[in-house]
Amino acid sequence: MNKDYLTVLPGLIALFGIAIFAFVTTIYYSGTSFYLFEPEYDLVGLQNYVDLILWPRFHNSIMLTAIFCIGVAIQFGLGFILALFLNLNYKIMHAIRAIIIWPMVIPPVAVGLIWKLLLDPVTGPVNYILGFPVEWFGPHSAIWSLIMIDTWEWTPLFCIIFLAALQGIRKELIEAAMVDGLPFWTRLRVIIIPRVMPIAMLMVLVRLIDAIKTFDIGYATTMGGPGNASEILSILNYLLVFRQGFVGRGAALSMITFIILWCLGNLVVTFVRRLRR
Amino acid sequence: MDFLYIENLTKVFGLGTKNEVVAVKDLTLGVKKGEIVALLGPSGCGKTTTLRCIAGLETPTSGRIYIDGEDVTNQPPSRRDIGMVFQFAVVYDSVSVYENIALPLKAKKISETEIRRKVKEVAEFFGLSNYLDRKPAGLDIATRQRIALARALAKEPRILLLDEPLTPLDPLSRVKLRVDIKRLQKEKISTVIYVTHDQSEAMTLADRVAIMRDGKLIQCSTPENVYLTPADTFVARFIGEPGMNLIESKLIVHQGDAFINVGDQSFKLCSEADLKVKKVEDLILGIRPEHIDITDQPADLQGTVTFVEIHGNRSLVHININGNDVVVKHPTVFSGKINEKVWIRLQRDRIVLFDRETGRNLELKEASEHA
Amino acid sequence: MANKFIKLTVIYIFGIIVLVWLLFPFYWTFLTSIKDPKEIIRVPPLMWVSEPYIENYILAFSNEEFVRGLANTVLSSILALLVSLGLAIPASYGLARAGRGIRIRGKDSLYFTFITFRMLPVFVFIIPFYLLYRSLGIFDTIGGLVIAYILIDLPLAVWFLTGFFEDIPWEIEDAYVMDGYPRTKAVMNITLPMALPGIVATAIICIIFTWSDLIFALTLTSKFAKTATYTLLGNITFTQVKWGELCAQIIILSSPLLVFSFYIQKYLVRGLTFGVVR
Repeated sequence: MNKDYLTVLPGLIALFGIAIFAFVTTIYYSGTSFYLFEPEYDLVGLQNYVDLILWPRFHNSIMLTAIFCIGVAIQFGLGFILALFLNLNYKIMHAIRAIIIWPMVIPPVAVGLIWKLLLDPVTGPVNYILGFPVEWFGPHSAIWSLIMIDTWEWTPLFCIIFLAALQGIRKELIEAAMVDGLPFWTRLRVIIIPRVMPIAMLMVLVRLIDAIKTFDIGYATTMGGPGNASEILSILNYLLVFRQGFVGRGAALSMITFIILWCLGNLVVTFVRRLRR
Repeated sequence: MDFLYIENLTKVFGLGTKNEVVAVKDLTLGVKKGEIVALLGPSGCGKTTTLRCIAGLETPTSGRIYIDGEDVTNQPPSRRDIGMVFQFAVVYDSVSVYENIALPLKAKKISETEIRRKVKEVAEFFGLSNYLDRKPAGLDIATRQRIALARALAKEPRILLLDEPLTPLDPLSRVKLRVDIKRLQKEKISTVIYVTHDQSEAMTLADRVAIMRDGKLIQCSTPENVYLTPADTFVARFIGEPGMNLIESKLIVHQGDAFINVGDQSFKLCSEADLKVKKVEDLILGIRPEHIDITDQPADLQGTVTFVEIHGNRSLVHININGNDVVVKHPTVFSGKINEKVWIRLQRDRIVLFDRETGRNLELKEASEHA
Repeated sequence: MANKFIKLTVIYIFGIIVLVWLLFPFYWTFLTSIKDPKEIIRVPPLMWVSEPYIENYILAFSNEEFVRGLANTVLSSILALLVSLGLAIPASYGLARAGRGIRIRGKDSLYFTFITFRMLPVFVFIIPFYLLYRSLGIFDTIGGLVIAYILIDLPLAVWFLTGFFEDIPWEIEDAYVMDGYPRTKAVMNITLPMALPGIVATAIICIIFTWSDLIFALTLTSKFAKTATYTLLGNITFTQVKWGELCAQIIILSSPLLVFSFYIQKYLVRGLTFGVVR
């Protein structure tokens, strides 16, 4: 084995140590009926998993999480448009580019709380500006408000990635298109999109993984409510374990989530492998 | 007015900031229809900037550009009906070679059958017929540049602009493609502006060569004129491999004859009556290496051999004459030795005289450099 | 000419819309933090304030829980960062250098092992940690938090740092070694200084992540080791929400992060895309 890998060892051992411990523990508990408030529990094998898979609340959560992932597509589109716009290099762009990462950089909990303030039905400025009262956190609108907040927070990510990709395009390609009189849509189709697509796909995957893991925003605003209207996977997991005490089932849920994310993560790895040639 | 007319073009980058750069200074140039004019000069001389101004990719700081009588100075590139090929082979990898060439035609909204015909025609000329249906990925750079050329020519532009298109190619492909470009230009009677820093390219391709330096146009004339009657010492040294010999000398008129003095040596140039230049005392005498003969008998000047380069069955002999390094192209392998003293004779009709102060060719009047 | 004018106006309008969309939440938070309680609950809401009410900030700084929270946040972030860098720098160095720039299969796999940690659901770690901490008695301690934060920082740091190390030309270091210097000396004197901007950028990114964490603090701390993000939630009770103080706390908490963001701007894209986009 190449001796350069020696320096990797301590970090690797640290991580692996923790990971193995965590996994083993979680898997173990997922096979029990451990209830936080009672010291005794039984081993129940795969019962927790079966219960979960048949549970309507779980189905609801999966569906909500899936809807939440639509937000990623919106962020993708908006980010791309913003990047095209910022690429034009007018003076106002400098101001925007300096602060565009701000939404990404402040704690997500703060983002959630800020928007809770903004979207307050009575004292919030958004409703005031709109002119008519919108119930942002109602039973049908809650998940969409979460999407909106997530979009505000993460569109800049797509924007800066796309912008960097756009600026990496050789200027001769664009200049030739200008001389040839190719319309904007052709330029987009033939030059821009082929260059930008690979990295775009990668980012979508990364963001999808993060979207499924989203917790802070939901916790700060609706806590899954009203009722179960915005109970995405991570919120459900939290409530199961720390509010209701069903550790066993919570562990099982986290393993299921893990499997979903593992598949997506492998896709990411494949993509990155290919892109790094 | 000429087909392409550039009038007093000046382009300054970073105007008003501390990084101000004057790329092109008051350039005036006329190009006739069907002509190839090469913009030649060392890097940074402003030739590419001039080309980009013609294309419309840069806006002139001052001056105007006319194509076919029309003032295009403020028109965007797409409306100028020009074709352009860059040093970087512009090829769109995501579409087929056919698409690549057809794209500008499709933008002009020509009928499908017309497009098909034109693309096939130009592709055949550049030997791309077999590649039409495939994507450009994996093709070598020479082929890619051919695709770029085909695309530029497919729409039959009234002016073709080429920015060092052959520079990234290997020498063999370069020569092949150079011939193709010349052939195409003659067949289609296209007006071409060709930017290059390679003088052999310029001299073989162009009808006229425009030599630029530091943003200014020094001389624009046929390759022959530029070679034999350079406008100044810069052109004299830049053109030719090796460049023209430049010898510091004095012009003395004595008893009806004109003499050239180099240090303590002197030879008769011609009679005073035949003297075509004004009587300036301090000069630089220019003579090309192939217009000097090494003689056994005493002739015009004498010097010491410093170095001999053998090229096949010819040689380049470096001779020191009073501190001037003079290079002579000798038709055979030179048999002399280092430090040997030799005599040289200069062909009278090939001597060019430059003003030592300004460097300008004394025979040319200011205005006639655009001959 | 008229065309250009219209184009410019449209662009400026679009630019202003974007700026408003980005900045309005910040503006409103700041505004609320300087409003007095009566102004906050006013209906319709005030869009500006005539006299800034700084009580909120005074309250925030005298709020023992919040100040302790800030201290905890800073402390745990920095400690976790130091340990993580201590492990990540050698790791990234090794990953970047292995095979002297030649892509060995094994190298990429190792790299991706680190990366995949980011892809895992947090709860897989939280449940065992929570149970372990409780039984070991390290629940609600800085130490416990730091261990959890190392879990966040280490993969992140390796992800970013490997890219930066890959950029450094290894010939210079090798030249030093061939001249007789021991490799460790060469690394310390040559490579690390060259990698410094990348290391600083990575450090800032790690701080931003751990500073912003909520879930670990929520589940693994209670009274003593609460971080600032957790204390923010303390402003929300069943009876009311203390918006003024909350906004002041958010501003105080976020300001350093906003300042840091300027420094990492140019490294972000490179890091986030695994070095694919420069």
